Amino acid sequence: MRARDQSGQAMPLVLAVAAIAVVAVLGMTAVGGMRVAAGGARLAADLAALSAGRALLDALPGALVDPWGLRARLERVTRAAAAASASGSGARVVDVRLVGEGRIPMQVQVRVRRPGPMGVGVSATARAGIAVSAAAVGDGPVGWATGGGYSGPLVYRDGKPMCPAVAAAFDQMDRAIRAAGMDLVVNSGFRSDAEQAVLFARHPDPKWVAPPGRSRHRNATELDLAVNGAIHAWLVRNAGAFGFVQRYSWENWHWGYVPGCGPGQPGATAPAATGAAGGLQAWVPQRYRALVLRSATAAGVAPTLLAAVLKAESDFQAGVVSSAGAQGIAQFMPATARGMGVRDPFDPQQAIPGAARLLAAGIREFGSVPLALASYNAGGGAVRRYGGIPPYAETRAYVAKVMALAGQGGALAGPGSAVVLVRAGDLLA
Amino acid sequence: MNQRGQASLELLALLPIIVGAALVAVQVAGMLAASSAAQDRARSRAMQASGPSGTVLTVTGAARAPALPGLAMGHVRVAASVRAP
Repeated sequence: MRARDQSGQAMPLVLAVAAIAVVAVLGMTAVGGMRVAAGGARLAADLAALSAGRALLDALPGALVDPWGLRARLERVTRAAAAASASGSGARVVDVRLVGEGRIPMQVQVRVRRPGPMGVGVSATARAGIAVSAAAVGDGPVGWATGGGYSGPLVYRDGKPMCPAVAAAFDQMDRAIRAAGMDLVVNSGFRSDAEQAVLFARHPDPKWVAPPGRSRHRNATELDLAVNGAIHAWLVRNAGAFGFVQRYSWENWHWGYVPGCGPGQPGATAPAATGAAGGLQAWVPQRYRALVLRSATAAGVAPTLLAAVLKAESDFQAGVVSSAGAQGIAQFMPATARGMGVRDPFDPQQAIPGAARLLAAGIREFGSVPLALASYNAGGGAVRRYGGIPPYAETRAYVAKVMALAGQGGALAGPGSAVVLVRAGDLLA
Repeated sequence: MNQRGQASLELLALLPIIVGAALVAVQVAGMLAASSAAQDRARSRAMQASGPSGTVLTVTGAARAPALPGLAMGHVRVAASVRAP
């Protein structure tokens, strides 16, 4: 009897521990399986969205010329591309949605489902969008900023994103400091609110890391530079000439670009851009080259595109008036000039920055260079009404002419155009 | 003495279960890590894949997974497809 009692004391312990071990293993296996499936679903969603975005980029030029049934056609090609990609990645497409504020979608969102352990399906969503190359300046890959703060094209220096105007000013400053035997390296540039939230969660001290939504890095104007004593001393002496200031006395690495990134910013104070031709076409008159380059950079549009518009509009004649009443080098109608803050359309110093701002606004609204040009020529209302380039012979000829002058051969966007995964909060991990 | 021995034997019987659970846990963790690595590789290859524009390219990423003693070394393979730009 005593023996059975003692044996009975050990047996429940053995059984309990064994049961716990089995449950723990099963639990780990299930959780692990779900995590693997979730990772696979996210991968499949990313690639399906990328595929759909690439199909969208390919289909848009033809679709824009013939806007009837545009959305249905784009939905068809993007769904087919997403389905083919997802199928190869072991998932199936649940939903494909075109995303765009106007009638022209520039992003596509894809939701996929992938089988997980024990018959449980796992879903993931990703979004890809077209980054318009005409807004790019300089070298490097192009991205598109969304999700709070600055919204527009991004270019990269040292692998860090910033708006084109900041990149142009940084390049000039970098060239200058190289002449002094030093080198500037960017440690951080534009940060979305989501990225800032991650940083703040790691170091929740507002003195060192601004809370999401409060950091200047969301404006795409701020750079964290690798500095030592000599570099900092040089920056203190010279950075102001390039538009940069040290934002905080206790952060000697944090330099902000005062003129800002685009329309509405005081572009007139942008750094003097030079003497360098900046890749402008040879036919741009010498007296306008610096102004064109500076205006385009401040607005975030390609200088070659702005130059092409001025060439097509007036052949750089500042005093011309068209039969329709368009005035000056940028051929502004009086009302359009007022809307762009141009008091004297015959003054190139006002008209050229105004034209750059008008182009940038068109690219932002319609997401493509040809549509922005059509809007410049025929008005934004006509582009919205027709959902593409309006069927006016003059407007179509104008778009083709400017695209040719800009050296882009009528493509939707230049060689730098890319489809990028959109960082949209919780859409992507 | 016999009774104590019986209890000890029962506790000893627990040992293989604990060892087995630990091995399975190591295996699960290893599979997770290998799966993650394979997915990263597949993603990276897919992003860099090139081919005729519009074709859908499938690439695979593989990573070594730990195997229980006595079993051949395992691999986790992940297939990823993307449309060529």
